[in-house]
Amino acid sequence: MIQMYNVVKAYPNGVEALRGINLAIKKGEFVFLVGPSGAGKTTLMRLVYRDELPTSGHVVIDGRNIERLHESRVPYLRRSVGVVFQDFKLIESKSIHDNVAFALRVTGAGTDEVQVKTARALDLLGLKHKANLYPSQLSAGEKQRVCIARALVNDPAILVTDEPTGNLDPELSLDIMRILVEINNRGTTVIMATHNMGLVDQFAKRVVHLVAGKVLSDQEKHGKAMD
Amino acid sequence: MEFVETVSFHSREALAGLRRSKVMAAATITSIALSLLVLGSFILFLKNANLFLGRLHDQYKLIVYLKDGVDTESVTMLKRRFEADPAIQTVTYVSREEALKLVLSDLGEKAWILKTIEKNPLPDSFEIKVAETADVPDLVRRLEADRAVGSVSSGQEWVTNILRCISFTRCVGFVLVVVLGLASLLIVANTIWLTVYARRDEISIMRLVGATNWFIRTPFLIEGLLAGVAGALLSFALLVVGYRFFLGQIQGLSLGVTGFVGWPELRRLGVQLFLMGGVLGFLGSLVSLRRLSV
Repeated sequence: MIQMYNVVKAYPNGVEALRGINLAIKKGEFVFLVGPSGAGKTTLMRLVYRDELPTSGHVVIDGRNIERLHESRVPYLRRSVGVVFQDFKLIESKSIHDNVAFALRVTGAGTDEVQVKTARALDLLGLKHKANLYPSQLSAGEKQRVCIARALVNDPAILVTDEPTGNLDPELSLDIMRILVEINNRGTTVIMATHNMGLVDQFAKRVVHLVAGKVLSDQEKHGKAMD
Repeated sequence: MEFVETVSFHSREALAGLRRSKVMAAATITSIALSLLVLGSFILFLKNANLFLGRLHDQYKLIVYLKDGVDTESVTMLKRRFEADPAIQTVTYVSREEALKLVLSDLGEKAWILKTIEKNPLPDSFEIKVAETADVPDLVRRLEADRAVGSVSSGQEWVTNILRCISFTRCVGFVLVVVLGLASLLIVANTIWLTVYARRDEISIMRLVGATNWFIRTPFLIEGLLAGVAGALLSFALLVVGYRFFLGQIQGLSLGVTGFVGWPELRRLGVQLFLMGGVLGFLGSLVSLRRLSV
């Protein structure tokens, strides 16, 4: 599903965020990306939804080499990759319903399909009763769930989550984790970047440890099988 | 999504965009209105100047004075020849008696001046309206070559000046309209840029969820178009009010100047302003979006 070959990402200011990453993630896998700040977790994930291009090496997503992907095809790749951000990135001027529905609208889905799928995603995340509220009226945990609902509404093959529990208390973090595991159990490949080793330890999932832009370790199963 | 659904979605998004940022929408509409008001006033001035110069041009006549003693037969033949000439539009024969009557009626109460003269001093003449003013020098040369013709009063210098004036006004007008148009585009594009820039986060989120550039652009372009048309409406209303006030002032001065550009021409200008407003808003949005690589 996701392959990275000798991926190097250097920024114009000279910082090398990734230094020769080799990684293969299979369809339906759940992978934790862990490591200290600046280890390259976010950069690696941005490559997956092609918000960045590698300086050298290759990134192949679902059989598509992202460096060779024409600019006009990028939106179509992004529709198959749901992204959950630590800072939510919700459109403040749109209601919760419209934030989620928008991700479907952009695919050209008809109104009926948009209504049905949006309602289903909001229901799954327990947000149905908040559909008409605006992001500013929600708590951090609720915003994160809206963000997940938006990422899921298209039934993406891959879900990329960057510190989705970073702003949440332990109880809410566990809630979000359970939702992500549930989504993974339905067949979606999930990559989750986190600092929170305590959380990682609670789930028996593959853990890729990044340090200074390199893979330090790649453990198939880690932690207790809480899921 | 079907076409109608897409259009309706984007239009709703555009209206919501305008409603959300009322101050910026007002700024965009005002900048478009003011730009078009300047441009429209200038075009109206040009139209009036052209109309005035055109009328002067239409009143232009050549007068061919015949020599003394030219007989009726020669006059008739000369008239036929003039009528057949493609450079001549109309020919009117004015006999020396008719010419005198005209002078007397022009003089009115001062007609006694001519009573001291025993003999009619005026020659027979032809009044000629030319088809093309540019042909005047050539025509004058041909007319003067005729043996029956004494002299030709062409006012050539006057004609040349009018023609020069018309082409100068048109040239300068065209250049100024283009310059003003570009200046308006810059002002409008910068105002719209502020609106688009304020929503750059929203645009980046749209991108991240897989929106194509056209999907992101369309509501902004509709917004630009609507703001452009609203600005044009405002500028046209101001222009009509201002023009009527100006005409009122001119008539109040009793200068005897009449024949200004009227309502049909003003309506045509209105349509032009609407088109320009739409194009300004649309292009302004497009240019601003391009700055965000959308």
